[in-house]
Amino acid sequence: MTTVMVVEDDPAFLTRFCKIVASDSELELFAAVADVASARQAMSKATPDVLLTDLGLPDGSGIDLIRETARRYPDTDIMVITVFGDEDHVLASIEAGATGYILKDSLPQEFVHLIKQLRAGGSPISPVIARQLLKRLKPAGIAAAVQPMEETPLSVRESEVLGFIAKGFGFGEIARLLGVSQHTVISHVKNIYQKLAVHSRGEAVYEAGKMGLI
Amino acid sequence: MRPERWGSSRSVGGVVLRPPQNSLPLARLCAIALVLELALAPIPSLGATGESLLRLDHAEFVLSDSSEAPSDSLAWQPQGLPDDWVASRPDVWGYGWYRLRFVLPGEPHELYAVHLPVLKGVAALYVNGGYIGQTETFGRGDSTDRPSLETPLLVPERGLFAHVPRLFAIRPELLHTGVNTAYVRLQVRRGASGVLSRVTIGPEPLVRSEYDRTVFVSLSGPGMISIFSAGFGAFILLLWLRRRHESMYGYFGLTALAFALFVAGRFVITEPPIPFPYWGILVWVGLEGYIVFLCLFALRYAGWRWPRLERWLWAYLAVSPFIDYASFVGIGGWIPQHWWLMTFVLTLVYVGVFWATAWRRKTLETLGLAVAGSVKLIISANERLLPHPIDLPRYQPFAYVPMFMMIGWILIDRFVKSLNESEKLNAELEHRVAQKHAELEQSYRHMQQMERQQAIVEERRRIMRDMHDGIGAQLISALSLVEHGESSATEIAAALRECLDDLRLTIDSLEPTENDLLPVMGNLRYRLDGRLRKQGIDLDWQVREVPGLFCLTPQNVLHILRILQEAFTNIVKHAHASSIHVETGLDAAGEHVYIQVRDNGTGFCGEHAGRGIASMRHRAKIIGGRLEIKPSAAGTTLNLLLPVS
Repeated sequence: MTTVMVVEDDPAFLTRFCKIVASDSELELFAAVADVASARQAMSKATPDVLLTDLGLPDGSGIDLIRETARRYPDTDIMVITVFGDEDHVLASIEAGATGYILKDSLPQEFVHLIKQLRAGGSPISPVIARQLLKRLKPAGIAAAVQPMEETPLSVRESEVLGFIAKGFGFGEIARLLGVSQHTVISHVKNIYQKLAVHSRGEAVYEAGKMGLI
Repeated sequence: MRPERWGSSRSVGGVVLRPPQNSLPLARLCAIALVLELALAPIPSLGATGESLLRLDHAEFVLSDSSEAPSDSLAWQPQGLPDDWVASRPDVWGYGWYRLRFVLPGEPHELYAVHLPVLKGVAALYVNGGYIGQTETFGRGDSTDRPSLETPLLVPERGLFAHVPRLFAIRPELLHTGVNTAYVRLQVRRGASGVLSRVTIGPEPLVRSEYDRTVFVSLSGPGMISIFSAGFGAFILLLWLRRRHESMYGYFGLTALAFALFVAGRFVITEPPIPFPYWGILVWVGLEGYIVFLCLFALRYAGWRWPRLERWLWAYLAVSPFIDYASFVGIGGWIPQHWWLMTFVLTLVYVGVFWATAWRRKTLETLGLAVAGSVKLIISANERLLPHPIDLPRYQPFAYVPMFMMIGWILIDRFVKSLNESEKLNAELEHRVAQKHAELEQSYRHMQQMERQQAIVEERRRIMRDMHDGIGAQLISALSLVEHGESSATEIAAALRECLDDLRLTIDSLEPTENDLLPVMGNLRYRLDGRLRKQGIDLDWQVREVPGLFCLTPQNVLHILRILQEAFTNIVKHAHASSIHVETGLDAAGEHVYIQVRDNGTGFCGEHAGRGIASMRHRAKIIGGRLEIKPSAAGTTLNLLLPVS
């Protein structure tokens, strides 16, 4: 059983998401709240397997909630709910620690599928995001030459995977093209997400050091 | 017959003058007066005039082959000094004796000396019957060994050019109180010159210092000038070789070199390296050359282009060696004999040009040059045209020095000025370039700003248009569905979903592409995948790398996305296909990138799709591309061709 917590300030959508979660036998609603404070409170005693959160919340940013959850409850998979899946929001969320995103208008079966996929270790990723990730996390060779300080460069295989995703290929197709299992491709993608999060943390540490905070 | 050509009438660089008694009656009278004066003159006595040195300017002469001092019974004739043998005794050569008498008031105890500033010919000196010394061995080419007129070139001519002042020391034992007698035996070879200058006698240190002065003025001074002139000339010539257009430098370099040759040959080199008259011609060409080059220099300096005069100057220089030759061997008559006067004419030319320039420019520099040139002219003219005793020092080489310094200074000044000028110019240029650069940068920034603003305005208008035509229109049709109340919730949801899809399409089109088509395609697939899967349509995604496309502006990307979306919508709605093949690539000609969408359905080109296809073609045309749709029994193939460049 996968427990899901939904944080969404629009009651109609909150209701819709709750219904979708409730309708699937493998998912269980952990909590459904409308703001950051309630979410914190809900997670103070126990933690859900999956956190679905909107970004614009009445008492704060979803990004903060994601960052906090990722740090305190590393076992929780975090997905961000977004209208367009546009790069700014998604990348910020991934940097904060989210490992996937879900479109607000997704059909119920897509919705359930994505949650299960995330739980199974695979994070969905769009070509636009893949492209942005390729830019941010340069492959090992280039990183070594250009930025020796880079802590978490992409491996050659990971950048290959991102390249294929950017061209629109699905996980199955990429697995076939690279001659690996689909599971391998999915785990590559998850690693990439984590690398972005680590990378941005590294930058934050570096910045903090520069400002004399640590 | 006396060979005039070797005679003193040939004034050689001002060495020898035509003696006045040769021409004018008045001069002849003067000569007679001189002889009378000499006959009556008392015997010079040391200390008589308060001078510590005795200068003897008259003697007695007798022609005699005797190798010992002839007896007083011979017909001794009074002879003024200096005596130019060839002028005084034309057509006579051989041996002659000069007798000089002088009085010493007391018994000499120190070493005495005799100074002869000019002594040409082979000479020996005797005092009171004692032998003092001689210049060289007598007898070579003497009267019994006369070369014939037919072979004049074999005759060495030393007297014409540089000569060595002579100093002989006299032991005090040879002198005594009262009248002393000195004899000079002189041998003059045929065709050579013979000169006995005035004689100075006195205590050795005093005579030696006078002798040293003479050596400096007539030998070592000109030597230094010659060497310096050659060095400076070579330097200026080298300068000119690197800057050929500055012909002034070239002409002055040649002037200095030619002058060095002339001075060396005329005043310094007593043993010519090549036989006469070739040596004479060479030295003369040095003289003629330096005057010609100086004229050319003067013309360039004045800035006057007189090609005809310049041609004449060159012609003069070209014919001069031949006329000099004629003059030396005594052929051709009056012209070769007076050819040397041309050097004065040309000296007048360049001094005239210097004065004209000074008059026009009125600068210290031009005036200085004119004065220096005039000094040179006056001194040379004085020493060559006017009576100038043969044994007086010649200042001609020294007269050249002020002019030489002046020109050297002018050239170096010009050189330095042009250097400074170019440095200043460079600095100015740099400054101006920097200024222009700043201006350009500013205007570029301004333009960039304007362009950015323009781009923002255009983009805003495009987004407005897109919203109006796209989502606006779709929302209105969705709204009308709701208002009519006849549509089911599913239909309304589908319409609204379409609105959302279009909005996402617009957002995707804003994604920076960096001229890469593949992210555009990738995103399209990402948007379409779910819908196709829901419809049970297989997608065969064969997207390959293609060359960069410069047409991929956000607007054009939206056009491409709309065309493809329309194609997919048509396939999904009307074609009843079970699979869609999407391919990208470069066409055979390499001019277009194609996007191929091929389905295995029944075709969608019916009535209902007509308007949509027209719109797709229109969009393709806006991009600068082309849309090809090929229906077939096995399905429809759609090719969107996009221009590479």
